Amino acid sequence: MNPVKYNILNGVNLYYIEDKKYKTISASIFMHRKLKRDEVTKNALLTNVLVRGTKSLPTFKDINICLDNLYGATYDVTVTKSGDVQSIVAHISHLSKKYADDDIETKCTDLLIDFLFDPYTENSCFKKEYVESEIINLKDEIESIINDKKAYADFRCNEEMFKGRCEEMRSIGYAADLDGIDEKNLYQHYKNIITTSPIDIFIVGDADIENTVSHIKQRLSEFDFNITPVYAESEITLASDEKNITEKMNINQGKLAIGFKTGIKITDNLYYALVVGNSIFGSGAHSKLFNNVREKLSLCYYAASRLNALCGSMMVSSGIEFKNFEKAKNEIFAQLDDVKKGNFTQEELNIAKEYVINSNTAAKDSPLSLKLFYVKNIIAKRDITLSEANKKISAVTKEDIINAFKKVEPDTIYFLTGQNE
Amino acid sequence: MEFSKIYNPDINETVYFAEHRSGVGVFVIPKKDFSKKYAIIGANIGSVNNHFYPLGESEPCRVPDGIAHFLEHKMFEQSDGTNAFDKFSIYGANANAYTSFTSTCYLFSCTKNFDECYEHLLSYVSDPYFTDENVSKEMGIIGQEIRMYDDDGDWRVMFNLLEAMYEKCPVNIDIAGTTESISKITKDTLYKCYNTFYNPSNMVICICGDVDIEKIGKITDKVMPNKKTGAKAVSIFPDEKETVFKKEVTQNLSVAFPLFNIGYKDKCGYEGNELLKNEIAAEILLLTIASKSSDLYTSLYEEGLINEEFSYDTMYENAFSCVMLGGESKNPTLTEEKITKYIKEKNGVTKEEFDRAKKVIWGDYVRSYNNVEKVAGMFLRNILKGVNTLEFKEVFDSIDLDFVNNKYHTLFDDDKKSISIVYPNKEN
Repeated sequence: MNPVKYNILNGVNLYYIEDKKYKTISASIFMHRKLKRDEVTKNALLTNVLVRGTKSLPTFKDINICLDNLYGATYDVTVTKSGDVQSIVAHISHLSKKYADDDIETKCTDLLIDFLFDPYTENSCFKKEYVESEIINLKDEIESIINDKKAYADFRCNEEMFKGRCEEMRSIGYAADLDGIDEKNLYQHYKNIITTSPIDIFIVGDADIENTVSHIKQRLSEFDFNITPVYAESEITLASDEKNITEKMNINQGKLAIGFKTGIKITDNLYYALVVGNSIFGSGAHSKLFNNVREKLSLCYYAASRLNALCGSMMVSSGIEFKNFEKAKNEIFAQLDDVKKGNFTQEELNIAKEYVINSNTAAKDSPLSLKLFYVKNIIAKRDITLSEANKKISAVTKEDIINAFKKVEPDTIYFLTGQNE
Repeated sequence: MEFSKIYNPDINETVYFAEHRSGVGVFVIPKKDFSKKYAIIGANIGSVNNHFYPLGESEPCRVPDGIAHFLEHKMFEQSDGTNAFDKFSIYGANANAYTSFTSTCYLFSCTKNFDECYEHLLSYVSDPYFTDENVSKEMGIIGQEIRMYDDDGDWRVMFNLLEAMYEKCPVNIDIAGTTESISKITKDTLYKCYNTFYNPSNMVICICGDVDIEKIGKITDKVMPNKKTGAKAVSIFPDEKETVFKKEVTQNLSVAFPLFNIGYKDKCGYEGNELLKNEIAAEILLLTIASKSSDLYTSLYEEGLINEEFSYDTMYENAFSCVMLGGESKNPTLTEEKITKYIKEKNGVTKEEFDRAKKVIWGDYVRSYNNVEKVAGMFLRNILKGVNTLEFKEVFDSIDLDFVNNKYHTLFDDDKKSISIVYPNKEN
């Protein structure tokens, strides 16, 4: 089930993962950009404007009626962030023709291409009303980031950890940067990026692939592409002096977010040891954080760590009583220390490996997980299949983990506490 | 155990099902070529089952709010001092559990060692171990779970709506209870709930993935009792009036913009396939009036009254049923006015809208078979509420435009409507 690559044009590739078990076909277009402050907000705004209308379906309602009639095909156009790369991503998922009408695949492929390459325009630019209303919506969305307190604390911690570097940025952009954007300059930006950014197309399911490939080739042949490659190339650094940041909000539960630097790249040999060590430390119900911070000390409902492989960082998040900040922090560090010293049993090591292998294997049942795994390969210049990754996980030893965790150090300790604390 | 088998040509899927001699229903949906195997066992006890006849007793008993959820947490505690998660971890499986208004479910997914995991699932759910000490340890963890939801605007706006709509039905109580109510939970009340509701006659098992039917039968025989040991649990629900308790409820939280949720109360007490029929009809109504292809969505979006967060949901259970729609709005009261006015003026669903909505629902149904968790979850939910999920297609086909329009007129009644709003805190 490894992807088969089709070259569409120079810089535009299509990857087909054939799997007849699915009742759907799931297609995505990823367009990669370097994460830059002067365009991060424009790209985010763009995704919201592009779904407002296409040339053949000029309104939001037209698009959705069309999709409803295609047995509720689902779509999403959004921005994602991977290390120092921002990707504009359009997804569509629809029933395969076995369960729907014969022309469903072509109709949905066309719509997916239309979202990115044939938007609705008036007087050679985006429709003014669409851009104006999406500016307001994006501004509100950026403000609403405080609604989810856990996500907010994690975001703030990451922002402080990577201060001054592009990795601090959020993919949805900044309210202040929306001033001055209008339908004309946004369209100009769009025209500029649409033909210069590398494009990866993924199709998962039981598709009529030869037909789809030639159809996409034909649709894109009218564009004059001049594509420069984009890769995730974050500088992997070590933790600097520990930063402590506390902020207040009118809330009931404190949110702790601790950011660590790992010093390890996704392409390093020790990366898989880092993944297994992270699982022993804080990923899963078998982990040290779950069993000690939650089960033994009853300090929280959740305490978990996760890696950001492309940035060389790790983040621990937990929701705790305000007064338990020191206690929880100390316990998290004590558990990290145990991993660093190799204070874990052979059984803990085996369990952690099985946990990672199970989730990699399970990804083979999820079109989205497959796409995300392989697109990460592409932008990280890594060439590995899920099965090969599992072999590397199996081979990890205790010594590897001790080695990998040598460089793992806390960088930023962020605590969102109560107004009156 | 002997399984019956039914093949569904419309979606090219086969289902095996049987009632085990212990009384538990077992449903298996084989999925060749899938890596993931998934099993879920559900008991007919949720947060609404707080008043019932304990097994073998003639007087009903009222238990503290949040006990079903507390029980779920405590089922992981094993008599040898280990945690039920431990064994799943050794087998490389991912285990979890959840409590809803009407059920408690335990589940795992794995890519190997399915038989061992399945045996462990049935064993630990059949073997409660509650002590004063382990009960009190859980208070801290669940206390933090409750606090976490106290800060969650989307969660609060929905629960406040249920509190407004329902005067007596216990759906108006938070699933996890309150720190105060759970402090009254003891090991004895936990055993009382367990013995009554975790009897195999009140449970259902659903399995999906590339599994061996025969082995499933053998493991079920091995772990589950070889005869019925109890009866269907009987819960008591207060009479709930058809109209809402309060028209409006508000709260202030640290959110950027007001969140709102509008609910319409449907009947309590739908049974069997009638429940599914009404649920699908309600979905057709919401798709027609509130989905992204509707006129209402378009006009509210264009006026800047709603954003992409706007969505809707249906809740169809035996003890209660309602629909809700909401999201984020800078002017929730004006939005409510416009929604109400639109529904009144529209006054029904057209044939075109009806056909389109049915296509969407059918597409969703077929799509759910892409995912082992979704299929098993859908079977479990339906079977626990007495719906014959094998007859989905028949029920779906039996819904016509008249039925849907009749529902339109009975459901969208001002006296059955409440609104819940969460406003930002003043200092924001």
